[in-house]
Amino acid sequence: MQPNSIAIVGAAETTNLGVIPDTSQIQLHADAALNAMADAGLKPKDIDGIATAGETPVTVAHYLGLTPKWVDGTAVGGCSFMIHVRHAAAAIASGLCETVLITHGESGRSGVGRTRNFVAPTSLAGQFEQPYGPMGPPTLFTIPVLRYMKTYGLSHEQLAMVSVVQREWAAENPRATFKTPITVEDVLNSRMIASPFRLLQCCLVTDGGGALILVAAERARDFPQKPVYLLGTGESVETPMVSSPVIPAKAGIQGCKGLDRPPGPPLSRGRRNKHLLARVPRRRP
Amino acid sequence: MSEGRRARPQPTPETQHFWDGTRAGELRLQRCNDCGKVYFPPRPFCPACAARDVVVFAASGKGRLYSYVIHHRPVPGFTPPYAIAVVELEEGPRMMTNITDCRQTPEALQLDMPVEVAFEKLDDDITLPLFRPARR
Repeated sequence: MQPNSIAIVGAAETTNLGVIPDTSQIQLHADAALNAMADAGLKPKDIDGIATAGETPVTVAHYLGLTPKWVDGTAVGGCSFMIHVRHAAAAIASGLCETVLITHGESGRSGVGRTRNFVAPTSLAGQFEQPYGPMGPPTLFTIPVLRYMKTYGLSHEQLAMVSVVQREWAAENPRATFKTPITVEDVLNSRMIASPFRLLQCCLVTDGGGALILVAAERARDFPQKPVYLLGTGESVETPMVSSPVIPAKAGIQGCKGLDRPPGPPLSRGRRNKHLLARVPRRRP
Repeated sequence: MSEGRRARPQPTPETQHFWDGTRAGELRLQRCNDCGKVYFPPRPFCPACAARDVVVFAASGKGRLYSYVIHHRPVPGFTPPYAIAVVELEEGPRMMTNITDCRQTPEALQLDMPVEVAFEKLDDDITLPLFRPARR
């Protein structure tokens, strides 16, 4: 994909965010999709490609009344939708379709019409991880952290600072659930969930969704909103088991193998975050 | 203990040797005859070089505590707080487990402490490999 050759011309979240007990998972996908189509000034007949995860693209296409000629149901967890952007860009660039809708919807808090991530007892994770009592991301993604802390000398205060800074960023989003600033002390005094991780270090579980519409850059100016151009994308997968990673050094894999982006300065703008560790208060004696 | 029972593994033809092993008091790993790689979880080929010429062997059952979390929330079959740990075996591979015969606290669970396998029979079919602080 050439940088700036693909544009996002529609983007929206669900009409409500946070706690939405009167809306099912599939309707959260649809609500976000309808809002994104309205944002781009499009109707269902204008969409000829669809990508989604959580639900299948067949389910979402049917629900929305679409008959796409390109579908992608890549489901690799939370970054599925970022990978959909990459796949959509490739599909548009190669002429497989022209206008791609990507949808996300999750009734994480209310659990209305939710499809469950079931770990089969015959799978490797079902045989060699589930019997030891993990229960979702806070007990799995966190397991390597103590090792990281020992290897790199990271303190609990420094780890807590991640939540403090994330809350600062959330405060700048008018739709964020929590905007009140928190301190390192607040984090370290919050309820223990999976030691060393406490409540304020765990993801907020919410209801909501989002959707994007992508087209070729040459069409972007035909749409009502200011387009956002795609500079670069990347993808990879490693393991469904936290206990059994493909060790990068041994496997010859580099962290950013799949990333293609134009030369130039880093895309990240996290200037404040650069000083994240320097801001950690000293541990009280 | 929380209601319910802990998740039961269901062996497949490719993993049956492992569960036969734990039932017989052995921690069985696999080694590639082509490149020498020792690996886990079980597969009838080498994940490093794709050779199908692999053998099953009994590991020492010794390793060290690699990392863990101590879970404080209820899970069927567990009494919180309990550690969900990863141990690194003497032969190289890492595996998830629980640490038994040990207080479930950050002070008692020191990274890199030597551990040894302790088999826990769940039923006639499944014996789980847990680990405890090494006794020697």
